[in-house]
Amino acid sequence: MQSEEEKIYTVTAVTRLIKYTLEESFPSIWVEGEISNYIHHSSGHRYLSLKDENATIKLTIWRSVGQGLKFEPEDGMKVRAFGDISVYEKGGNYQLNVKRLVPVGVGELEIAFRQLYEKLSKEGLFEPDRKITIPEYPLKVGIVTSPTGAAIRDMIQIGRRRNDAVQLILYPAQVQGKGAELSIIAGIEYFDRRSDIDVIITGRGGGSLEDLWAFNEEALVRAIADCRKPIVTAIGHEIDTTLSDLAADLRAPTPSAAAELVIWDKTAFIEGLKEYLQRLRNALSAMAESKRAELNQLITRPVFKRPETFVREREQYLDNLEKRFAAVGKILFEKQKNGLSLALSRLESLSPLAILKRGYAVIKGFPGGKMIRSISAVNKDETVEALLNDGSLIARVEEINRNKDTR
Amino acid sequence: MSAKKNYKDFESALARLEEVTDKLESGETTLEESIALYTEGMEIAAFCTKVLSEAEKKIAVLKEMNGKFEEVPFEEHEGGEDK
Repeated sequence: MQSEEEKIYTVTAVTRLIKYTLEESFPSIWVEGEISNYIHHSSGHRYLSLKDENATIKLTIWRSVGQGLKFEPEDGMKVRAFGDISVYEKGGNYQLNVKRLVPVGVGELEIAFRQLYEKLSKEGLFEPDRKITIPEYPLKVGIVTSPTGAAIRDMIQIGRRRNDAVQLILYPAQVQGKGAELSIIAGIEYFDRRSDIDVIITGRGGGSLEDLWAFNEEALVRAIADCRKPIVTAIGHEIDTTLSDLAADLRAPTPSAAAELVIWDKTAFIEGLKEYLQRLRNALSAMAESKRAELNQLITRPVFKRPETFVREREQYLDNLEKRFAAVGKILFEKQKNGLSLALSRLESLSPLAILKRGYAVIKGFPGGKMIRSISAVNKDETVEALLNDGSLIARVEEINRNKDTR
Repeated sequence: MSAKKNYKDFESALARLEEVTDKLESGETTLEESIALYTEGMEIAAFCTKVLSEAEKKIAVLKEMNGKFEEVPFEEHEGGEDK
């Protein structure tokens, strides 16, 4: 007979034995540790390890379980996993098949909020340039909220007080619990399709993070961001901020505040209208007044009062013109005269008198003789007159000498 | 200039009223233009007043009937508050 030590198992047999032993001895258990080697496989299953200082255990989250996870596991995250130990025969290893996974220290909703926030802001869903301006004077407001909540009651009260001409239409929606986001999305999409709705408000009264959670669901946040109509959120109290608030065109701190922002004050509007009418009237009377004054001024002009004065004025004007022409003529004449004397002085420089100034003399016969240009025109002892620059000399010809070269 | 224009909403009506008033106040328009502006301003105001003075709007709630939504007067529930 073989001893136990000598018994030979097949791989399958021993693995199966381990499997039974292990799986039987562990009921469903909670394990706490830090996530490492997290892989979200394209099949939808997730594989990860939990570790502490001394040991590691493999975890598997099947797709069906993973779909229910509020947050996406991350390496380094401290979690508690609830599940069954199982042996994977083919791989020869054991693992924990996870049924629930919750974060330690931080709430899973907080983690989910942060993760979805990061994802959607990367996509630009919260960008300010996506925001549509809320109309100043809407006439039809679509409200998506619970028909029995405090939110609708507050908004109706404010609407009645501020402006009964603004119609409020309520889409009764479920605002908390499973599937609440789908109900709210349906309401938003309904109003977005209706062409007569000017602005949409969605929200609810205060509550816990869990109560408000529908407004952090990805589908609803996207529906709000995609809404083509201006949409205002009013969720919980002032301190509550949901991802829906960030995606909305305007975030009101409370439902009452949303109503105050959207429903305009009828009385103030009418006052403003009256002011415009007064300005129009004033402007028109000012215009009429100035036209009347213009007319009066025209009527009192001399031409209408004493036409003959007008004619005389014209005559006088003509006279003036004549005088001015005469004056101009005189000036022109003076100018020409000046021009003449200039010409004269130029002529003078050419005159023989100027030559005399340079030391020459002119000889004439005396008395009253002709200008003598040659010695042949005079005889010895004849009296001649020599004209100089500053006077004349009466002289007698003593001697006549002919130049050798001249005849 | 069409003074008979229908304003699709209060925003555009108000914007036009402001424009008309500023223009008229500028004093740079002819008498005829001024009268036209004044008339238009009055018409806008009348349009706004008419919309506002129409019967008080009842709060409506949507009820789904045969797959279509209908508006029925909203009656507030006194009890059963769930926020």
